[in-house]
Amino acid sequence: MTAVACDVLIIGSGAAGATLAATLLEQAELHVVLVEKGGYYGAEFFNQRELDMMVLLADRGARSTVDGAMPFVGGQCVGGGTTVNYALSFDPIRSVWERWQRDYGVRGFSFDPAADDYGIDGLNLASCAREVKRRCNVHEPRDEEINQNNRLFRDGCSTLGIAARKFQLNMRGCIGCGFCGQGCAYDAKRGTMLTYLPDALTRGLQLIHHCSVDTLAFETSSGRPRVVGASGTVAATAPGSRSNTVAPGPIVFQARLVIVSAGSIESPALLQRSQHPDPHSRIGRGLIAHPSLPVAAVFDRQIHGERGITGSYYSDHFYAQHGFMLECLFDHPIDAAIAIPGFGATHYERMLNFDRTAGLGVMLVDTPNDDNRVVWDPAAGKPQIVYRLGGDDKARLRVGARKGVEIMFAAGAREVVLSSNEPILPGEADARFTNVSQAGACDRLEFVPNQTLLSSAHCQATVKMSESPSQGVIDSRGESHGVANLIVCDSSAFPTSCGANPMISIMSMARYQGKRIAGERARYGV
Amino acid sequence: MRTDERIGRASFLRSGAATAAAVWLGSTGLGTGNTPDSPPSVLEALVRTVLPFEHPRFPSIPSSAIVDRIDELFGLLSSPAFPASLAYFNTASRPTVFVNLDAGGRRAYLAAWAHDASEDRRRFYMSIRAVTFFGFYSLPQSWPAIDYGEPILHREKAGE
Repeated sequence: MTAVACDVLIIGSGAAGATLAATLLEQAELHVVLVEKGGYYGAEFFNQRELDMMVLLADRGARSTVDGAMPFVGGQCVGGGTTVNYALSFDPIRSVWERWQRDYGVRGFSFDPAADDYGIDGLNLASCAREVKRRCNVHEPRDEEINQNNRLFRDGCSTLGIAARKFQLNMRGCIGCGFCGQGCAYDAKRGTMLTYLPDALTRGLQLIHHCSVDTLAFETSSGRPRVVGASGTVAATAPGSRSNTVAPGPIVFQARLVIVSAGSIESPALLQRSQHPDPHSRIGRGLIAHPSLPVAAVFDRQIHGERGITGSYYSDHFYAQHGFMLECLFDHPIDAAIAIPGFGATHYERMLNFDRTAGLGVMLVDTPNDDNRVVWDPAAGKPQIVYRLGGDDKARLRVGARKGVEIMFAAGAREVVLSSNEPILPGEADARFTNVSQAGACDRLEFVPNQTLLSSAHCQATVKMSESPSQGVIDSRGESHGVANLIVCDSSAFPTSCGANPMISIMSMARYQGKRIAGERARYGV
Repeated sequence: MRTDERIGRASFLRSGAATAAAVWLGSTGLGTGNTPDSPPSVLEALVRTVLPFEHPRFPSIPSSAIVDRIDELFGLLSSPAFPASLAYFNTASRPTVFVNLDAGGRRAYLAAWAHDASEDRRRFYMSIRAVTFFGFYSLPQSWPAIDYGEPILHREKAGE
């Protein structure tokens, strides 16, 4: 049994955990321990093979809803999602945070760069976001870096009068290999593994990877429960991972402050199996998924969307009215084959057009629904994800599908398919369009589970932040309403969707909370 | 040194996006059927329906090799429930079992499952399709026909 005593234990090394660790150590002399369930893989490991790199994902890519209909993709390695995402970087959206203030009583997180939240000099969300973006080299790609897939998307939008914008990307020195999702083999993607984690390690952070935290330890003798540590298991270091700082086996942590940053699936699951008080049945409820529908189109010329920067353009043209974004992205063959509908010769003919295929995704900002939830299943030994698309969300996603089809034809596509075998067009076994006049058939999509493939890579809002214990599990400081000295800081803390790809919003919130915690150390006895 | 040079493939091949499908296939019985056809022969008949081995541009990979690869990746044939599910799938096409249908009959039967009112049947279709595509498109031999740019690191190592 390994025993570790520290001031601050952070569980999860992704966008939130690593940023928190670095910020705390930058601001205060503390003994901080960061634990990660996955391995510590670096550029020397990333071999650009879809199959091998599944080891970077939660459940090795197998995480999905209980009905198997919707994959929930997430990083489970040092750096978390920032190691396996497409580097798409959106600023925190002011209107969203203002709505959270209004609807959930969230305090602080000022967008005024001159604000001193909590009386702490210079503490505000605007400054934190600016610092995060600078540290991660967030910038727009140059025109000459835009690949053919993204150019077609931009041109299709332009033809239809739909505003398209360049993504901001956290990259430096990208060579455009096209394998962001498999871990950057060139250290060009500036995720937390290459930014805040090294910052923290330089300042004395202890990183323990391959470490599953089974339960938080609560002490209840003084009335209100107080977290005093955690226990778990360190697995043997997997082949290809960097070495660990402790030996495999059981591990016990003693900590004055525990911060859970394990993401929107694992964080609520950890609270649930730790028997965290939940008088209002809030933990895990109201899961936001950002369900995404792939749209693929065949052109008469080569595109090779698998090469170059994967995502350079998106459109938020319909965001205000319909709450979805169109994001230009592309998959490698395994995921592409699964996303493209059909089987047999029909499917293979579509795959033979792989080099002439363009792709985009319709990403829905979904409506909170308490029935969509994460539930720890002790028998299965893993969280169960329950998610179904609501009626209003289906209606909005139909509009998104239709716009995606129209954009592809406007760009010159000769055929468009959705990731669906719903027979929405006469004579077609799946959602295949041969001319733009058929786009209206998207109105017949029912998004039937296991018939239309939606996926999620942005789960959020399962340990909601609210000043009211009946609305949220934690308050605006991220502090648990039920357990002292326990903070949750990751995408699960968002009350609803943060409105876009969440990486920078999560990192900005973590930077903010790190500074706040350092400024209020006495509050936690550290 | 890169991953594929120093790590045994067995360490990694039981992983991937299709693992969810494989986990379900391996643990959930659709039902049971009584069939003299062996589970590998039913799986091979399914693989030959999901992938068009007769297509002129299909690479010269035998269907048995894809079956072996799926089993290598996911260990389905030795799982408790998958053989029973295969038997059920095979016999539910009564009066003619799936493996005895001609190619067109197999396609029609599988397509019917894809659109079935039963969520379990649709899930079986999506899952078997996913593990088959996973087994096939993870093979570098499948890439030239689709003109996939493939990983570039090995080219760099070779000094290209």
